[in-house]
Amino acid sequence: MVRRSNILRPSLVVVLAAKLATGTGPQIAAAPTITIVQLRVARRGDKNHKPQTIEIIATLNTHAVSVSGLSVFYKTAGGTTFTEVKCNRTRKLAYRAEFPYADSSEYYFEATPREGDPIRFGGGNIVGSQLPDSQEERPLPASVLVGLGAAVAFLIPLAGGGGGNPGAGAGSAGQHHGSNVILIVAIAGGAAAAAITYLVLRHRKAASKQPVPRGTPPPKQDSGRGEPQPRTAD
Amino acid sequence: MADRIAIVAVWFEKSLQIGRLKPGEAASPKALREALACYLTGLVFSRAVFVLVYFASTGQKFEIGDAIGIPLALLVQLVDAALFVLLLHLCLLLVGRRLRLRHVATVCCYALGGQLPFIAVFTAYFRYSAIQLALNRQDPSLPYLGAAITSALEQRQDSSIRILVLVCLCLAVATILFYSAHIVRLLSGLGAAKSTARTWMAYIAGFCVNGLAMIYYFNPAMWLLIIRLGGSRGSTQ
Repeated sequence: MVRRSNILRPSLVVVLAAKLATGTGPQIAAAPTITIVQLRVARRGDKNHKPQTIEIIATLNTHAVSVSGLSVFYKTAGGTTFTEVKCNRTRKLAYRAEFPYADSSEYYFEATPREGDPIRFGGGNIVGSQLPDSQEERPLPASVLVGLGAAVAFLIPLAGGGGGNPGAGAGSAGQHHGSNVILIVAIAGGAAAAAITYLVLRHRKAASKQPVPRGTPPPKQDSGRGEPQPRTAD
Repeated sequence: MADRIAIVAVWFEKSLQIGRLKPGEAASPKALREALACYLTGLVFSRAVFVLVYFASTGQKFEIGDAIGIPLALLVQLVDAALFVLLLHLCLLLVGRRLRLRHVATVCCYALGGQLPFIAVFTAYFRYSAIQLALNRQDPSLPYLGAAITSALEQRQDSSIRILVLVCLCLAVATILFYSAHIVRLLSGLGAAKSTARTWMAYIAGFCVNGLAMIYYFNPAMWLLIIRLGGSRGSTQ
């Protein structure tokens, strides 16, 4: 079997240039548009669980378009005009908006790109009574914040040791010793981090390749009305 | 070949072990050339790690076209480093420390050449997740690295990942602090008026302004490159 070397392929530079120019990776996107990767619609209530607002969280694929802002336009069943609500970006890079609860609402999204005209996409109807209750986004665990704070507080004096009096001890044996210790710790830490990263990724890959056992129920849809997902742009 | 080995030896001695470097060495006539070689060596090491992470993250088969394409991102890093040197020089002038641009560039090249490979290893896990996020979202302007770090910290089921994330994050911060302290030490030792406090002030100002440029210009450019090369994977999270 003859195997051609990639290096000898004459069209290599052309392929790379085309990739960079058009964004044609393994699969090419036909036209620049915005796709909703995941959509979650839920209702938020007051203390008595009476629904007050509808929460909509959308994860987007913008196909290399830089988006500076996203809005949801909604209209209740009896309304005539759409009302705009600006979306906030969550920590998980999704967009979240809330608007007043109604039994039936119509909505669509409009993204403002950094260059060019606004892009309108998505949309549909929401039946308020069929929505699940919203789940609050949890903050970072306190133990993580305490651990990070303690580590940084420990590290600052360590770094300060490197910035000592330049005239006096820049080339002293003590400083060389300290520098070597830090270097060895850093190299050991780097090797450990690389090894653990590799093991974790291998474990994850192995876990994702495991076949789903028979009788497992299908994954639950996130949308309030069980709409098919992902949904594409208009 | 012998020259390349010599450069790696110099890189190991002066960039990685920057504590051994004296201010006088950074001011010598041939130092800038040597420092640039050290910087490029460190950059190549860090990009090699990045290329490995990229292929692990995208699951693509190794293609020489991509392997050439990914290091194009290092051009972005080169421009960023040049901007950092200029900003630092400007900030040093503003606080009254008149140093030659050549000396500032030399010190920064030595330090960055040592710092980059460590940062590349310590942030490899975050970059792995960040590349996956970027290929799913495909918006170059989003802060993928920050989102990858916070989502890894929020992992509640798998405490081993959280420990890994914390260790890596602390080591990355420690590396930045360590090399920053040595940049300040070396710059403080240069010139007539030696002032560590003013040099720290200038360094922090330069670092922050460069960080803003990174957030608004260099990171989006780098993510756009990765998104263009990775293409549309169409997968959902």
